[in-house]
Amino acid sequence: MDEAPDTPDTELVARTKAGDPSAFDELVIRYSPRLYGLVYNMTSNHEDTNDLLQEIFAKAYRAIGGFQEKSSFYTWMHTIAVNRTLNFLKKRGRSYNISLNDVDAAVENDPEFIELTSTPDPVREANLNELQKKLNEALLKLSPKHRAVVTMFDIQGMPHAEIARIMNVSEGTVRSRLFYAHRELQNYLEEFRKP
Amino acid sequence: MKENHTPKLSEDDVSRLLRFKRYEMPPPGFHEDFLREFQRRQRLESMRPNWWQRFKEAVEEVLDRVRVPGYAYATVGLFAVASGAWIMSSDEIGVAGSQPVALAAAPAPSQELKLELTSTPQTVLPNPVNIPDQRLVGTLPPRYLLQSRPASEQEPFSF
Repeated sequence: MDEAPDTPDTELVARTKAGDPSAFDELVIRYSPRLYGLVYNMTSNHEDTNDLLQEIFAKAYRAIGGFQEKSSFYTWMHTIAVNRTLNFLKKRGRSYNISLNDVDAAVENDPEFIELTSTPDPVREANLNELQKKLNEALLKLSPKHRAVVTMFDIQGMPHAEIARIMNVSEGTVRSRLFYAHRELQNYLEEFRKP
Repeated sequence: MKENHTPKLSEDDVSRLLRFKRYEMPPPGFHEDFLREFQRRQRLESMRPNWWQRFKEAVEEVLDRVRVPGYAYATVGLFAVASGAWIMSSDEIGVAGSQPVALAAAPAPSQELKLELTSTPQTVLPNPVNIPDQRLVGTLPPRYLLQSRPASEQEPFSF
């Protein structure tokens, strides 16, 4: 859009509160890719992610007047997204459909992926689609709260403290959930270890 | 004996594998379409009548989620009928209980004319004047015992 890329969130929030909807459009553009990744990796379903993301931004737009900016807009948006997605997963229960996105071709240039597919150690050479399917299946075996922590830490690269603020738990709880989730995933993904 | 299972992958291996999920991308143009769809929904939202309408919709949504079984309605109905019947019956008891009080409040009998009840009190209706049959007067027990002689039994006046 027309906004300068370095316009701070606080300014866009203030303009939205003052009644400028284009400022919120800019926040949608800025945050939708990141929040898409968060929701998608928690649901493993593109259509559900799209619907949830619309609801999340609509809810944020309605509630932004009451946003007191005690936390950053980033944390506030992620909190709304995580809570809404956890609520959705609770209702969905164990009945789900996996609807996976394509893997970006850029992965072929990722040094780690090159290493993974060209060297025998530590992980066996895997077909990319097979790996994607197994990773999503393994994540879906975790509880929603464990999946949320793994998504934010391992996939999105957030620090423990930020995850703790978003989920309104202590850092110790975040670390504990991560430890448990990794143990579970080690078992589920064991087949990728070269014998 | 329970097998002591040691995971073969390290935590770092798991983290490295999970990082590949960053490459899963939505279809091209998704985010542009997403903004357009968001703006369309917001326009629809702003065209809604008023906050009261939204409130009603929210309440309806909550009620839709809370499914009340049919027997719950039946129970509430039965309770309402039973309560009504109980209230009405308690009103009747109150009226019946007040009757003796009304009788007790009757004026004290005068010293000149003492009355004795020979039967249970009955509702007094305005009956026509009952002139007793003179042939039966002596056989029937008097309904009232009077200290003075009734006028009908007094000697007629003679001038």
